[in-house]
Amino acid sequence: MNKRALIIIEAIVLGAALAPALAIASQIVSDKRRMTGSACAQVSTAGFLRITHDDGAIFNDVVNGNFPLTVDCPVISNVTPPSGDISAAPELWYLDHSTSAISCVLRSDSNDSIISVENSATSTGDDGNYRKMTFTLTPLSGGYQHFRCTIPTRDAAGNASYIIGYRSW
Amino acid sequence: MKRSFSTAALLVALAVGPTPARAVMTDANGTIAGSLCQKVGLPGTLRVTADDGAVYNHSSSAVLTIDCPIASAGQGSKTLSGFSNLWYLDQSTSSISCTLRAEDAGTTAVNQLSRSSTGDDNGYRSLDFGNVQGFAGGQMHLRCTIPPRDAAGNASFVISYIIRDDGPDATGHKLGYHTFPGTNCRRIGSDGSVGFTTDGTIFNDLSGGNRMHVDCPMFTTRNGGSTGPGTVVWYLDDSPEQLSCMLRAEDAGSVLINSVSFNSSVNDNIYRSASLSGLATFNGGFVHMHCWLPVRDSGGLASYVVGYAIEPL
Repeated sequence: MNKRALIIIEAIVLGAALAPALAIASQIVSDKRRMTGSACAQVSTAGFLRITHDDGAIFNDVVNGNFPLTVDCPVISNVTPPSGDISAAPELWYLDHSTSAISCVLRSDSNDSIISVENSATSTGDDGNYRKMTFTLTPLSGGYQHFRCTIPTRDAAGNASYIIGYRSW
Repeated sequence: MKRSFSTAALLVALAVGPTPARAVMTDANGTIAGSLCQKVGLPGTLRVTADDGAVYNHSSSAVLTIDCPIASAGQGSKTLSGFSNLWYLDQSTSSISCTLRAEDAGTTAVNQLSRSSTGDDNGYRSLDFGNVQGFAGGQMHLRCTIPPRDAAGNASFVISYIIRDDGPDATGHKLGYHTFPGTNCRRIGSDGSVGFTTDGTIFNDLSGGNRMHVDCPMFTTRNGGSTGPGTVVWYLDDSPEQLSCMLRAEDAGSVLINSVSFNSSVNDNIYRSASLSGLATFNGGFVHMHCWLPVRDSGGLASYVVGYAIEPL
């Protein structure tokens, strides 16, 4: 066996040895925990939280008034969130079909909530198109993340705005 | 000689390769805001704070009971002491009391640990729920009581919690496998009345009317692929009317939909599981479960969704 063949065999052996670990490491780094809007909880008493009968989205079932619904959407936050991985940026999918926008804040709190950092985003649209908000946030290690959103009421024509789902680390 | 040694080292690495991949851990656990907790029973008033996602009892007279679902690795491991905590702020005369319940999949056996808060001040503290033995494929949840506001109006808060029962996979499930108790389900529409049992199941607490439609969220970590054989729903069907569940996968825009369903009409008192495997999911999409729970029968017997699990492939 010549030297070149030996090197090739070693490369194959090395690849086989590392493949499972690398594959799993890759899965963890790209880990994005996605949940439907149905995991969100209503905050305070204004607005009326409803879950759709099909896709697990949520909306404000109040017709045309100044009663925005505030919701808190918990994330099953990774024990050690990945850092610097742009592909895993937190996102929230929505359908903005109201005159007013959906406004969201992604918060990362220390586990006792004494320290927090946050980043805000606002919907665009007022049409029938599904879009997503993207957030830029370095989460607090060992803490937890959650989205805080306000959903406007149905518009005068009865159209509602929806939070479809969200993902974070 | 150097090259021979190198080759031998590589062969050794191959032999031990999978071991350092502790990563066979199911990667199920996470810290969760109190806002995932749901109210149990009628007394007390559950509120979510306007900032940190904590929950508290807004009532000034009644005790509030909540159930806080846990994404469990379902490995049959013990919870990790020092890494399994519930954070709280106790500002009331009475304590916050919590019990971590580890149920087996059929909720016929339970291991549990109860703790109570200390304080009545402005100090943030935590309760340790380590060393509770879980069950393979079982569910975990925290059941807490939060006292009413004190005479000065101060409330007590459950801020966040994490229960770590992850570990080297002992059940052959894939990365991302996790279980949830039925208390993680939420009612859709106005039919039925939600009941949560002490062991973490959900049922329709009415004796008449339509079936109660609920949505049971779960998290997904993989991009696409199908649900594996560990994807199941545990239930007890004790009503003449059918109990049904449907696991749904949607793309991020809710345009594409796949689903797998099961219907039960056995009407007995036996805990069973139904497979929801083979559901093709979408890259970047969501997975969640719908169930329809019948009303109690004429003898008062109900049907229950005990818990559910997802195994990504």
